[in-house]
Amino acid sequence: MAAQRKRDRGTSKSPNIKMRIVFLQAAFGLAILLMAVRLYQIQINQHDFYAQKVLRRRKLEPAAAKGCRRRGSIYDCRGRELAVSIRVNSAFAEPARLYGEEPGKVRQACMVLQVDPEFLSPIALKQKLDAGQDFIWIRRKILPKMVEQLQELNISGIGFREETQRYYPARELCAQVLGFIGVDNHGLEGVELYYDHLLSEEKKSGPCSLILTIDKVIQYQTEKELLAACTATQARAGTAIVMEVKTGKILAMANWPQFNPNSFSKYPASFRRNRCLTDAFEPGSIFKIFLAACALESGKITPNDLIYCENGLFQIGRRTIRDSHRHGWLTFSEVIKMSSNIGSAKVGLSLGKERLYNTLKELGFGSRTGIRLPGEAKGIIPPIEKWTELTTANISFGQGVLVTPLQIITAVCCLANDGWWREPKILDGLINERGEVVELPDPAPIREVASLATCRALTRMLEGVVIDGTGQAADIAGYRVAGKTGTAQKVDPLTRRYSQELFCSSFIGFFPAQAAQIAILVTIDEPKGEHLAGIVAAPVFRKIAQSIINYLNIPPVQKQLQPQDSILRLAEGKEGAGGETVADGAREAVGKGGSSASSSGIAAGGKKEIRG
Amino acid sequence: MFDRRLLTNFDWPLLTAVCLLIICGTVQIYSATHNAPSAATRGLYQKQIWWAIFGLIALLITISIDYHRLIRYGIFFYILDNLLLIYVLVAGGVRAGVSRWINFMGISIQPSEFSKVILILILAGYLSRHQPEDIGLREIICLLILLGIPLGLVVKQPDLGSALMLLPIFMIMLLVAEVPLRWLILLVVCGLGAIPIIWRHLKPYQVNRILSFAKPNLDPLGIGYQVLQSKIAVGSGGALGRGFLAGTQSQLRFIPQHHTDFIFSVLAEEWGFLGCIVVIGLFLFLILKGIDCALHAKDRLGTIMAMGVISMFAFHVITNVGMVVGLMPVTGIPLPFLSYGGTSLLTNMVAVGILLNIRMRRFS
Repeated sequence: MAAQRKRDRGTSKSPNIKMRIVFLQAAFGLAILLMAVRLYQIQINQHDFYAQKVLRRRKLEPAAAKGCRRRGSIYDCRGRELAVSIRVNSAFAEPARLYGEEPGKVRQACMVLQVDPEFLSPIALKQKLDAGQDFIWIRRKILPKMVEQLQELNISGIGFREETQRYYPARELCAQVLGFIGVDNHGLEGVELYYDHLLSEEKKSGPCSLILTIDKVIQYQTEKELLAACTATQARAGTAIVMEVKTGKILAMANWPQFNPNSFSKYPASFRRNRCLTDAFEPGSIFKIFLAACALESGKITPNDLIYCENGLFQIGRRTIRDSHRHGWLTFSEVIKMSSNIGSAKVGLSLGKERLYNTLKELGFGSRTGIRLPGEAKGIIPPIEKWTELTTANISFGQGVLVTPLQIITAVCCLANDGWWREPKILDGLINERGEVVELPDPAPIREVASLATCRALTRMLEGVVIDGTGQAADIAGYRVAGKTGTAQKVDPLTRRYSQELFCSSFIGFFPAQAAQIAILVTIDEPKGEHLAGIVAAPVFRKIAQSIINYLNIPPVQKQLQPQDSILRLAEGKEGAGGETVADGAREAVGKGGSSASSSGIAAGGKKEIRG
Repeated sequence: MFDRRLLTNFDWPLLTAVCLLIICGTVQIYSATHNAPSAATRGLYQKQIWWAIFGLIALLITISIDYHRLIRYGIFFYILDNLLLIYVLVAGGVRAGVSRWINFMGISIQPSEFSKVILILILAGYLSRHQPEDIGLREIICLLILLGIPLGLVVKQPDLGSALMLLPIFMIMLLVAEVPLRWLILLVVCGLGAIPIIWRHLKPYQVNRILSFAKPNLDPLGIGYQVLQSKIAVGSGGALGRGFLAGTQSQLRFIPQHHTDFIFSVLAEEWGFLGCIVVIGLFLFLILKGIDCALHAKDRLGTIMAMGVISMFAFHVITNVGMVVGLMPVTGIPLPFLSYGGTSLLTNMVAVGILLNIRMRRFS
């Protein structure tokens, strides 16, 4: 009542005015209620959506702050740099801020950065804003000079972020093994890809650096010789692998053609793949090593057993197997030495398909070696159910199977060593986030393929190949070298038959034969002109081996010379480079004298072994 | 002049609400600027406190003068303000491409803010002298001239937002003054008819602002960007906010003008829905109190004046908050009592003083 009276007394307002005020009151109240509803909608209902947008934005900020973290380096086995990350700046733009800048200044900035001025023209900026872009890279990884010039221009809306640039100081060296990384600093190929989780700067506890088994010097020599051979023969491609026999460490893994990982995008993919493990090929005569291993291990055949080689023509079913030279009766040793296809086929047939198949499987053919690199091929060994007599005969001399160079050298190392198959090793150790070097254990022996006696007998047979067989070009004076050539006919993709012009020439060898240290495989794909492996591939082996002998100071064979050799080595240590040439000269002289002695030694030793 | 009845009728809750709003504003200005690159910007919250004290003095002066007397000074203020507006155009300091400020003894003043309160005074005076039934074409033209002079000068600065704020004040005061509806309708129709002509005279950025409201991505000046960032800030605040000084959007300065026009998004991010409701509640309280004051005013003058002041607050709040939450186009309208800006705060304090003035003299 009192209120009513107050109102009547206090106002001389008509009901009309009151009505209008109440109407306005309702309108304002409703409008404010609408705001509250809208706030509820954005803040409560759509909270997650907007909160996410903030998170995305926050992620960018720490990235700028942590610019100091760098991807781990990759070193060779002696700590020499193969891949490193260096700090560089990248220029970015914030279109919303840049829009207000003088177009002239922005154009100048574009000129400094060597980008198209249209990229940051007001129209382009508008489009970027329309598309909701509030952050764009102008140019990644720019020169320090550009940063200075831009800072002088003092443009708001253009900023820098420190990034890292991957740099491969040795350029093409070892490129296919190392691989490379993309703009987002993640590995795309090779070690960079396989060990990305260790190398990445995004690794929580900090990036690790890797130590590979690769030796930069051996890698260099290997690549140099492979390059020379491939260019001389105008080959389509080539590979070379150097492996430490006892440990399965890969000391060098070379591919031709080469590419430079610092500018990997300029090369076709075929240049960038690591053919040593991605490309399976028909091995040809090299494969007779594994036939021999199977034969010796079976005990059915000894190196001195005589085999009739049909004078160069041998009929199996409707197919005829040919030899390049006509042979009559040969010992098994001579079959390998002369690389007789007919002799091998006969041995294979007498062994039976199960035995041959099992040995090949045990040697790792038809399955991945398990090397810690991406993209490894399995190769193909036909399933045993499908083996006919012809298959067995063909496989005995390396036709009708697909294997990778890595599988071959791994299998050969197994036979050159102690008959135990081991995984090949590429990662020697790593440097963890605290800077401690962690050495990785050498691969453990996985399965026994052949006995020690078999391995020794096989080695003697393979020494014969180098002494007076197809692989004489691989002989190194003063050293006992064992090896095998392979000149595989390639299937012509047009006719789908074995071509008379396309070959894959290869040579596998290891030395010193009495206690193998180093195995080397060279394959040269489609050499033009001369194609015989003994002429094309074996010399490459010899040159690589020679440089490794010099580099690793592997002593020559003569026992009485060993003390002298160690004296020479001492002299080297004291006198440095000058001493080395003296030592080399001495070794050369020693080697020439020792060559004949070693070969006679084998003959004697070989007979003894067979009797035993 | 100060009898005890005035004091007993003093509306303490209204003043308390206003003081709370000013405190909220100062705290958020501190939050928005404490990590700014320049020391001058970091010190803005202190300046705001000085302006608040200055405003409180102005408020006390306003309530001490009977509003009937205040109306008589109206014409003097009106002429002075328009002279200042002309002075701004001729010799004012240019900031960000517009001339809105006068530097007076180291203090920068924005006369266009004063125009709002002065327009309320002059219109209320004119309307109270004319009974509703007397209002004809001549009076309407007079009213339009009174509106047109400051409006034109403010548009010229150019400050379209502030100028447009004069229109609802004008319309509502006419409405409350019981100007016949046919005149009001005619004015609205004429106003709408004039839009195409005005459109052609708008500056490109003004056109863009309006277009970008209709279509936020169409946006060369990055205003859609502002609105989006503001919405992200508001939305990420959630129910209880990210905490004082913890708003990523505001702290990283993704929101432009976040201590002036976009102060509400800083508040929304750091204090969440709860903080927003408290502030909006305070404004609602202020508006309802003001309307109550208008309803209970002693005379028609008081009602018209009070409603003018209320419409000024209400439209500022609705436009500003609406802009922050993406319901309204971007206009440079500050949020009363919260946005940084000395002249704006001073004007609003004087306006509150007018409300208190009317309320405490409702019986005398």
